[in-house]
Amino acid sequence: MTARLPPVSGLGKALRRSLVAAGVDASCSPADVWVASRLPTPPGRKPLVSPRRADVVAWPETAEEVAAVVAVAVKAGVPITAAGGATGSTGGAVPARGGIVLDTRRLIRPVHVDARARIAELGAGLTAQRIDRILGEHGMTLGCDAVPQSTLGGWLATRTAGERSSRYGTLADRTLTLEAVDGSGEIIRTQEGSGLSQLLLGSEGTLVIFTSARLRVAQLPCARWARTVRFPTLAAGLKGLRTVVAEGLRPAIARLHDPAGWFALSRVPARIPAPLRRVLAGAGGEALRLSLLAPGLLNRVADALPLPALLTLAFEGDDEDGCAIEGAIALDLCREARGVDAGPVPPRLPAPRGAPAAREAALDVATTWDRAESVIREVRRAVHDLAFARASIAHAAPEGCAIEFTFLGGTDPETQRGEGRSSPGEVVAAALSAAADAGASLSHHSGIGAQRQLLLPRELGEGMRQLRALKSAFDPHRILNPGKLLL
Amino acid sequence: MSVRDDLLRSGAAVVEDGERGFRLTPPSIVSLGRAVAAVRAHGVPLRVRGHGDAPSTAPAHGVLLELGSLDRIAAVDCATGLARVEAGCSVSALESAARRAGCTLGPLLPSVRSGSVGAWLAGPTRGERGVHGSRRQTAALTVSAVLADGRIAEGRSAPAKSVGPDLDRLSLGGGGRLTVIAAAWIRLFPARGAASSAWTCRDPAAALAALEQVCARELAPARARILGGASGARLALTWEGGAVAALERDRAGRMLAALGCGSGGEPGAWVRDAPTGHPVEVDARWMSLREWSREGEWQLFGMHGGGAFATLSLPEARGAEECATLARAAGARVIAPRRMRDEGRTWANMGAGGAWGRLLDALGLPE
Repeated sequence: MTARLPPVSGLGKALRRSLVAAGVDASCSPADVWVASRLPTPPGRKPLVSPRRADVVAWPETAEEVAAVVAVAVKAGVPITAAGGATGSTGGAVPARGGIVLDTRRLIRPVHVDARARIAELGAGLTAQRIDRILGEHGMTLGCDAVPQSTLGGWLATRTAGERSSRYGTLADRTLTLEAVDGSGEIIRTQEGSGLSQLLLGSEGTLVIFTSARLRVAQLPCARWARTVRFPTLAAGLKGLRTVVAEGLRPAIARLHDPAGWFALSRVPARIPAPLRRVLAGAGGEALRLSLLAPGLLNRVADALPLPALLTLAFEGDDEDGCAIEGAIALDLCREARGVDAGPVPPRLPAPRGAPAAREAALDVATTWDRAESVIREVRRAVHDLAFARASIAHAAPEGCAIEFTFLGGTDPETQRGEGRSSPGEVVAAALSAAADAGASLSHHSGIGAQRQLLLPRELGEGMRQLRALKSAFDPHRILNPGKLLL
Repeated sequence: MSVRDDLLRSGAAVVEDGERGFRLTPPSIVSLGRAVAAVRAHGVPLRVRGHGDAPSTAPAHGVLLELGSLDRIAAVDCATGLARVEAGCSVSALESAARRAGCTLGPLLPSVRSGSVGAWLAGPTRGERGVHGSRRQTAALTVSAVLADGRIAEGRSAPAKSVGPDLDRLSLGGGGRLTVIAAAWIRLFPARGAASSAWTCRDPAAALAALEQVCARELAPARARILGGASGARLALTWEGGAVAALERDRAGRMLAALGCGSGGEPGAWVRDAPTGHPVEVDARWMSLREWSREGEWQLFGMHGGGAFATLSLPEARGAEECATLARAAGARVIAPRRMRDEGRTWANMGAGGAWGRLLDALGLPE
């Protein structure tokens, strides 16, 4: 069944005329506006559209054209929502109050790589796929491994970390200078070491629109060492991983699955009694789907089983021997925390045994090492009867880590079909609140957007006043991405 | 109500100081908040001083906020690698406490070591130091900042947060202009053995070029010393961090040999000795460090792919002024001694002058 798209608004037509007159390509066709107004939805789900969809979409190609879009918006008194690859999970790039969606994907210049200095200057609209290709041609990498369609501008706007941040640092660590346009139409070009770059990163389109960045890049690795380590408990695994990074080792991958995560993986540990192992081994997607009707029971089973925590470690660099030495040092440190070498990593870790029909939601938070275990415990407790929860430590730094939760179960809010009694949104909200109560930060790399903003005052406290002051400073007309970050 | 009356109501000790100014010593962070609110409400000039920091006198008709009483170290935990400390505490006292717990702050510039934690974080280095992987990172995980109205802002202590703009950046390196740093969570390194080696190079520029290559390969040492002389240059490097230190030294050694540097053996304590002559401290790019001089002495900290913090000194007879002049001519920014300190880059230089003015207005601060 297809639905008719709403007609072009009068405001959309007027904005398009102004934008085209300013030299910026723009469209107010219902299809373009619909695509630019989609809410983040998991794959396989029916796409939803913002209730206050955009009026027009603009495709500027330079910083000057972005400034021209800002000028049009100021004159018309309409908001601008900057959007890139539309891969965000928190709704940060979805228009909340209509107006102009500024599609950044034509901001593809400059493209300059200085392999000797290990610096790349890239347009904010370049996608991860293109950046990987461009840098790869010079034997370089950013170490991000982001979603292929995501853009550099989106990474800057959310201050994303990158999949291999334990080795290569976060994007903030790699950012040298930025070019951006603020809400008054000024083009800001930060200088290295000024501190302004670091202040603007992560502002989610509410203070400036990024147009390009100079980034430090790393040599593409040609050697790799990977291993799994089994720990008897989550606490032991946390201690082992923390020691590895505190000692100065920089694993490219360091992912610690909690026992529930292990439970959700296909491989069934040998310590489980044989009859139960056969039941678990035979439990396919349908069994999981049925068990998710009572997620509390599934959580209790996972809690009761004597399951270990599993750490995947990988080191990469330019020589096999060096990687192997780093790996050997890491294994020694893990042994001190009761870790046992569990052999090489399979070519690809088994996918979770989630049934295709199972509703899945995800959440990332950040915290210090001393709080990590209690954050996981409190989140699991909060969603105990709502969804099956598993956690993994996905980014490790000497002072703390990111925890990624995956929740299986929940009811599709549209069809009212599915497992459990709560929608994925309700599950995430309960989990986020519990994580915040346990002292975790609301997001490690996904941003706040629209979905997590109600908890922002708990995160920032009196810092909300500083945030509002920054909004007044960089966006005096309050046109940049309103409805996000409580701004 | 007069400025003095309001300052007294903050609970801080108040004495007259300088040219019709006041020296204010708050005993607690709450008192500091009240004092800052009183100062900002009256719009009088403000200077902040911690343990061992300059300046020592109040500005004319203004207030010197003396944070020496805010010197408590609330926690030092080597297991989590974090310390909670008030801004007036001296860096050396924090380092001593960290050492007792088996941790360290790592190698720091001499001016940083002799000052307070607050001055370190609010000063020109922004609390930054070198970390593994040839990166520079601020030591502050989060700061507790006093706003103009006396309220205290502090975010959650967590690494690499994605929760909007990094508000700590309003305090770090700000010199107390936008906020006054009251306390901070400081990142610590495990105190482990170091691995040092020395090399000989054709001249200081060659030594610096080789060191730049080492840093570009993400093998930056924790500290470096280069001494230029008639017969070439001596380069000594130290890596810290347990078993990783030796691994990185060996990798760097292979690189340096390939770049034409000869082995110089074990440098001993020389790599850690205080600089000779009349040194100045700079924040510089590699090119500036190479072009500074051919006969001086370089001690480098916080090395990264783009440059380093450095103490630069010329032979004894030549003064710090000459040293600083040469450094500026090479494009370096002088950050110590304080009397020679160069101004940092302003927002106006970057096209954000309008935003700066509006920010001061929104924060209730004078131009």
